[in-house]
Amino acid sequence: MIWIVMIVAGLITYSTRFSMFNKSIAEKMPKWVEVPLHYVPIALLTAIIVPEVLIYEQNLSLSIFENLRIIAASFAILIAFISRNVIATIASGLVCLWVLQWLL
Amino acid sequence: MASKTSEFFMGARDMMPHHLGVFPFGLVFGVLAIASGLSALEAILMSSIIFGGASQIVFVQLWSAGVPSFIVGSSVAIVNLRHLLYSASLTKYVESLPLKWRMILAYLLTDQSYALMVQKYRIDKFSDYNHYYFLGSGLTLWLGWQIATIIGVLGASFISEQWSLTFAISLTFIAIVIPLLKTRADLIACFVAGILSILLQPLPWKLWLILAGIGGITAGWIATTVIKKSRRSEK
Repeated sequence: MIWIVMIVAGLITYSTRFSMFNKSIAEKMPKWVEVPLHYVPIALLTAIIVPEVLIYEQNLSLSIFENLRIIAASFAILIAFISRNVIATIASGLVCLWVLQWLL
Repeated sequence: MASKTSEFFMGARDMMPHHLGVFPFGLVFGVLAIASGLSALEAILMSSIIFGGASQIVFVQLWSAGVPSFIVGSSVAIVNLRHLLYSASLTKYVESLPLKWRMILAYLLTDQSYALMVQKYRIDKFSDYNHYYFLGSGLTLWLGWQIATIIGVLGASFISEQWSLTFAISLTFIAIVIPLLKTRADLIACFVAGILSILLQPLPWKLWLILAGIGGITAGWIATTVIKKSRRSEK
């Protein structure tokens, strides 16, 4: 069963990637679709990030002392805004979290 | 003039910074897949069949939670819908390539390779070998992802939760999302998706993911329309 779901999911994923590399399909796409599509990465990636950071051991944890990821993620967001650099963002977040874990 | 090989290796080199986020991400996927009850073979092949980090994590989390296959498939599909956008914005550059090339490059299209390609075409619009750059960057990422998955699968019992590797996933996405936030409507889409992803947690089948995604997209869409209208009326 898992194989079927995996292969179907793989085919859907591949077709979203390949679709617009095809002139005839790309030309058929209505213009208005571009507006909602623009928000797809922002909305979906944010919806993955936020619970990953705020939910700690299956409970919502907003205390910055209990849930150190909040501080580390905020720090990484700040670095991302300033630097727009991938390495700087990921490294600053991880190092920040490790330092906090070691301190507290 | 850049040659095919120099473009290929330039792509591979420019992908290097992304490996810092993608490698722990692949490790986490491998570990998580085994912990969720997948076999080593299933976990390793999923990285080739789907080849989309976020969606693979979503897949194993939902699968192990006993969510119906239909919802698992839909969640993976909606998480990967963003490739449609990437694909669409690269159409004009790749449409003249032979079908074989387009098929391979489509397979290698990820958040990371898209980010690189957009930059590459901006600075080097007329290079004849931009597709070799695409191939070089895409293949490197693919290879890194496969190796990371295999290490994660094999090392599942040795990798400690204390290393907070799952956090690397969030950081990878933060590094991708923050530069995307350019307008007020972008921020609105981001906030709405974030708030809904928490508020909708009690829903079954982890439906919060799909609904928060759709909510964020709709909010951004409405905001764009409203802002456009108000600009027009100001004039």
